[in-house]
Amino acid sequence: MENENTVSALDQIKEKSAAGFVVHESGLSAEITEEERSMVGEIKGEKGVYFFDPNTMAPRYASIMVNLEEKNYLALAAETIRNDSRTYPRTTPLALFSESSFSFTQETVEIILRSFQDKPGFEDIEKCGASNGAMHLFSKKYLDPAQAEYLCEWDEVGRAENQ
Amino acid sequence: MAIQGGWAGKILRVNLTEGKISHEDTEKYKNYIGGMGFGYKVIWDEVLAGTKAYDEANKIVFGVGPLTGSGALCSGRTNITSLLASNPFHGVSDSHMGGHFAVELKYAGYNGIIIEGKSERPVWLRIEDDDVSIEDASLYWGHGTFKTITGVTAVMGGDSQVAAIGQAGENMVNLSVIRTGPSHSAGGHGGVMGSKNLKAIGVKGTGAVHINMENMEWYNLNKFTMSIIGANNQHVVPRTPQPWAEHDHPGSRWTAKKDLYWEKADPPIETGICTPEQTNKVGYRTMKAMLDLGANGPKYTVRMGGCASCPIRCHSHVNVPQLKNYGADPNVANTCMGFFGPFSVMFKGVNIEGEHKDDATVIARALGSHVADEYGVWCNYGQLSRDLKWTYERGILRRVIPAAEYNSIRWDLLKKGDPGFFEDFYRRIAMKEGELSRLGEGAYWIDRHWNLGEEYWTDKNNKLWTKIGYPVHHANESNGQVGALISSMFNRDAQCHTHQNFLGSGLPTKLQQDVAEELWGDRNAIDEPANYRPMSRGKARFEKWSIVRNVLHDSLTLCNWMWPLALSPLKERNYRGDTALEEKYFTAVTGEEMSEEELDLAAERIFTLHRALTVKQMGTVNMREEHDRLTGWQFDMDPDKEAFTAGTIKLDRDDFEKGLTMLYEEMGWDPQTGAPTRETLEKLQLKYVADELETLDLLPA
Ligand code: SF4
Repeated sequence: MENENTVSALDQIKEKSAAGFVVHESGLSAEITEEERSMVGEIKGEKGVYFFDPNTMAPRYASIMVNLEEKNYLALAAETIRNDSRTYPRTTPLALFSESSFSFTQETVEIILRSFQDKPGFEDIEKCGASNGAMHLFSKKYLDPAQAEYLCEWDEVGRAENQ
Repeated sequence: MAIQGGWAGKILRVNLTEGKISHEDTEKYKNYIGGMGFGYKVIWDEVLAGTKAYDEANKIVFGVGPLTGSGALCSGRTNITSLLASNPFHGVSDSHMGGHFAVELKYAGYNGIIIEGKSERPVWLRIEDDDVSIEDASLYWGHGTFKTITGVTAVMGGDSQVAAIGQAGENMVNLSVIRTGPSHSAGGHGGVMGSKNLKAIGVKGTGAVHINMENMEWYNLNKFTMSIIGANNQHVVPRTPQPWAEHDHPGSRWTAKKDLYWEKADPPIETGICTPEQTNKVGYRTMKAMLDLGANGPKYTVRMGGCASCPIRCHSHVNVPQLKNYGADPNVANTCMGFFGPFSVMFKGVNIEGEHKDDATVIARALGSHVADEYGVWCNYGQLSRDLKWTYERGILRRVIPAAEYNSIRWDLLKKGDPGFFEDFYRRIAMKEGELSRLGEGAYWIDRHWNLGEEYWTDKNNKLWTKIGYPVHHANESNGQVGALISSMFNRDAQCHTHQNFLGSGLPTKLQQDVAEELWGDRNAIDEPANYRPMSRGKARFEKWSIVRNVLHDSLTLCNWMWPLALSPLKERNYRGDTALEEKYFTAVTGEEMSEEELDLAAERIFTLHRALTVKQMGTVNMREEHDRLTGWQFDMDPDKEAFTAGTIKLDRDDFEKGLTMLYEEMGWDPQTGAPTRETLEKLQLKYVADELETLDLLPA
């Protein structure tokens, strides 16, 4: 019989999501019911299933958190870059990955950049630079290189000059 | 219909030549809503074509509207209308200021002030409800805006509001401001006040703005508005990825995030994550100092400030102790171009011994803002500093300035990156000291004096939009033809943010296109940034809507840096806002039923009156050739790229002509010349305008 003091799986997921985290299935101290499962979002990662509360956490952010939990930094960076190029469209500042929520170390950033060049599966990802020295990344599958160059310069320099 | 809620009932008229003060009924002006609309109506009726900005016969109108001071969101702005001296033909123009002057004017019982004539000696205007007097200003004349505002406030009391000019305005420098509060400037008309020997206006009111709606209904209307409001510029997604947000965008002014502080507040305040539901934290969403002052802006931020009835607070209030080294007050407040415009005078960079470059940036931006504000110099949306750079680098200043004067200018400070240069530069501009001060006349006039050649206009980096002498302000970089055509319609830089707010919201282009289809019946109104397609009917409708709403806001008065709320941060609304909100507020406050379309039509009347005023002042119907012509770089930039290819904002000459025609058609103007037709003028209840234009042979054939 369930201990009356046990916090339900749903409440645990809600609490964690409100604080900005996803919950791995193994991190739940109560079993999640089918009904509760229908009320939360879930993402299948390489190391199991993660839950989040869709009322306080967007699926895209949950996906970022799952990748961070699983230390899939390269996949996360590539997914972010492709999503930016495809959706908005825009280039992705390299500096984004050093900020929260990503908080990659400088070493991780360098490994990612090298991997984009050397590893198969990332041929679409390219670099571009702005006149202030900032580097951005984009997916040429979704964004024309000339457009990417313009958007990078605009983001770094142009926008501030055109308030 | 008699005046009900919203409007204050009367307009104050002050004749400085005769020292005469009178009141008149607002009824006569009601078709023109308020603010900008009042201003154009007064100029049309009372200022003869051919009058120059600094002539005694020119008038200056401080206009507020039915929503000003009502408590409606962001309803604290003053619209100032007069002839503009930096404009080649002294065309009618507006400048705007926020702060609390506008609401105080309403509390004193006025919808506007018409200033006419010219005083024999320096004066300031004292308004305390019905008690209005013209006071001696000799104590303030020759001083900057800060001292003047402080002085008049000391006389009138801390609960008054003051608008004043600095030395630039007194000396009729074309690029001069009228300033109020700690950080609110209206650029362009300071010299008109100066030409009338009017140093300041102080106002104190004890009345109220009446609202024709039950309390609970009013509460609910405001609650709904707060639920769909975004951050500054109605950006509706956060700048960084955050748990609550499906979208984010690095260009968003929704800067709030964990570990971002107003660091000089006592105790420091964390902006934190602010979700759309946390409407009590709207004031934390935009931490403008990190945008205005760079990476170290937060370190010096005491708080954010802003205008009456505005929960957004887009003005950075900073404390920069290093300013004492330059003899300046360490407490500075400003926003956007108020920081960027003066700062860019230091075009060789900033370098302060012992300071990190990010601190040096804060020091220079704060000091530049302070010095320019004190003297009351306007940056002409950044053109003043570009003109300095352009003429300096090409040796023009060395050619046109007498050697003794040239050698006395502190170029050494400029070259070293020492912001002490601001004081030398702005003093010369404001006091009209020597040939250098011609820079303060504006682009058109310096070309006339110094013969800068065609390259001055066609240089892309110099950013001049038309030969009228104003620069880019959300032009072809804002959806190609949309921003480009909007920018060509006014007599100064377009101060239209309607289109810019929409495009900069942070939402994906496809989602914006869905909304465009709903609003303008054509998803082709919106293109991907820097991947434009040829002109379309949807773009013309988007342009017209943007201008009309801008004019509506400056007439009601609402802040166009927030309104209209066409989009929202709410996923459950599929990010839709509510374009009928202006009408809802208008009806709620005034008690007069007006549909969204009727209100837009009233704004169309106001903008067509602006066009008619321009036709009359220029003495030509041919607006296409004489007024709306671009300088050329817009078509010739990026020589290796074709217009309508990815990666360029280049325009196409034929397409631009087509765009003009389409916009003229949308406005009901003559498709050839772009001048208002009799038919349209009559439809807009401007028959008297058509009649007068006809007598002047200024109606299109
Ligand atoms: S958004 Fe800024 S300019 Fe507009 S009303 Fe608010 S504080 Fe004033």
